Amino acid sequence: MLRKLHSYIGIYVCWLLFVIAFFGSVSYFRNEINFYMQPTLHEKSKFTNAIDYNELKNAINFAQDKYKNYDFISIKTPSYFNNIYEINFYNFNSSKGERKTNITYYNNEELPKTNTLGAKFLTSIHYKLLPINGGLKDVFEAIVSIFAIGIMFLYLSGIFIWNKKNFNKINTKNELVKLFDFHIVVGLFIGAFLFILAFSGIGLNYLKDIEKLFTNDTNKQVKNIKMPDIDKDFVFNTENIISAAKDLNKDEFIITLNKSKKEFSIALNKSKDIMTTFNTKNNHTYVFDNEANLKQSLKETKLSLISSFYEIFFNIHRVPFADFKLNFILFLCGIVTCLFIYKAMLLASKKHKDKLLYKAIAYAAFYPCLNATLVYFIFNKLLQNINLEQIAFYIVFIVSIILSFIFAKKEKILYLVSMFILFILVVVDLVFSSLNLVVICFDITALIMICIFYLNLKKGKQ
Amino acid sequence: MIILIFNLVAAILFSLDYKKTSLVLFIISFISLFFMENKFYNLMLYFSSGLVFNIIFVFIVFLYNQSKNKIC
Repeated sequence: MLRKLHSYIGIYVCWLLFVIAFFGSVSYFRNEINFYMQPTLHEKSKFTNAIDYNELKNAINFAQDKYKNYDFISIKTPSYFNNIYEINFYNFNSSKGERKTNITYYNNEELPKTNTLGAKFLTSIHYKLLPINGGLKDVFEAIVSIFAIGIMFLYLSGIFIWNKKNFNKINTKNELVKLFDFHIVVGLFIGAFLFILAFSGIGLNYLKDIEKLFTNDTNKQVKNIKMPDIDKDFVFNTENIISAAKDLNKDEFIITLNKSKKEFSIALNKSKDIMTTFNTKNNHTYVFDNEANLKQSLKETKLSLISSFYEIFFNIHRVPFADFKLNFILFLCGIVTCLFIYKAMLLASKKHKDKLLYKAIAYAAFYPCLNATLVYFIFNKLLQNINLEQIAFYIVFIVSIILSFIFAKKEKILYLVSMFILFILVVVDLVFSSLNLVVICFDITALIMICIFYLNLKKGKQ
Repeated sequence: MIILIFNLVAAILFSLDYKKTSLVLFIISFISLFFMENKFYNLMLYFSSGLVFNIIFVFIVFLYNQSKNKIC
């Protein structure tokens, strides 16, 4: 009974699970994708390791001069893959949207921006399927959460029906045995990863709401916030900011200039020291007054029980503290997860006497996700239009689903289509992007994928 | 880095069927977590690398066996 339930629930939720897992894996490299989708920045970008304080000084001076009418200015130091400063500026009464989109890139001169949603669009598919807000967003989030419960059920039922014998070998007898062993070995390990992510994902969606149910503190909702008197002409002493930053001796941080309080803060945005105990959150923001005297150093905040769980789930799921090493390993886990779900669908097809529908569902999950993402990148490079790249994504996604069902018997055509799109992406990169670390890594990945498709194509012919 | 090396060796041993030895290494790696700074970060690194290394090496052994069978 449980075996049948595992099999049938698996077949009918796998398609969406694959989509969620694919875009979840992609979002581990959201910063790199955001940079990759800003081809106008690539020319001025070079790979640097250490922070250049002279360039930081120039960036602060530029920001204070250009955005002197803004109450808050923040300057984010370059990531490990480039030497470009990100300047964010907003006022006390700016909307959330303005706070997020008022961004300029700087590298000894103001750099032009590409009009794109970048990785935000791909990430939004992971947790709400469509980049929408309002009531529908809650509905889609609920759907994703229900599927996350499905993952948890699939893992637990899988453990119960597993024969507890073989879990470190994949036999090479025949295709069915291969797929079955792969399902057990990979499912046992990657299922745990999926289970934790599904559980933390549901927590992220609903723990805040649960906390609201148990707290009746209406005083927190402050209405009619009074605008403070802000001296717009106030200018911070750049030397003081630089000396404070030098004393901290960190590679990546965000400096925020607050004109309303005449103080500046330095936040360590990649600090790995997140939670020292279960209910303690570390806030790595150092606040200085205008004369660079330290007002507040590392702050430990005590959390309530639900907030503690929320914080743990947030850190597990979003890994905001992750460096390249951790992101890469988690990305590998994500890729294996996608492969696992894809192979699970092929196993279902094999078990049901090569049932074409299940095979088509597997193809209709993998190829649309891959092709649409690649086309999203290609349109970004070619047209640099925020709307057109999203429309292209949806069109290719739907067309790929149709092609997957039409050519379920002739997989080599699907291989060729994906290979062609990958090839176009590499060519477009060579023409429209200056080569830098991120672009080269993306292109190497594309070339590896072309090779894998080619090898599969050759294997199919034999 | 120590965690990654321990997990890597443990995963290789696991794929070569030395299950108990690999389990001991995984446990040593886990215990070493308690003596390190940034426990949360290292815990994430431990679990994710442990899971993915095991799969990768089991898959490599499978590919090796498959190619050996084809040659034979």
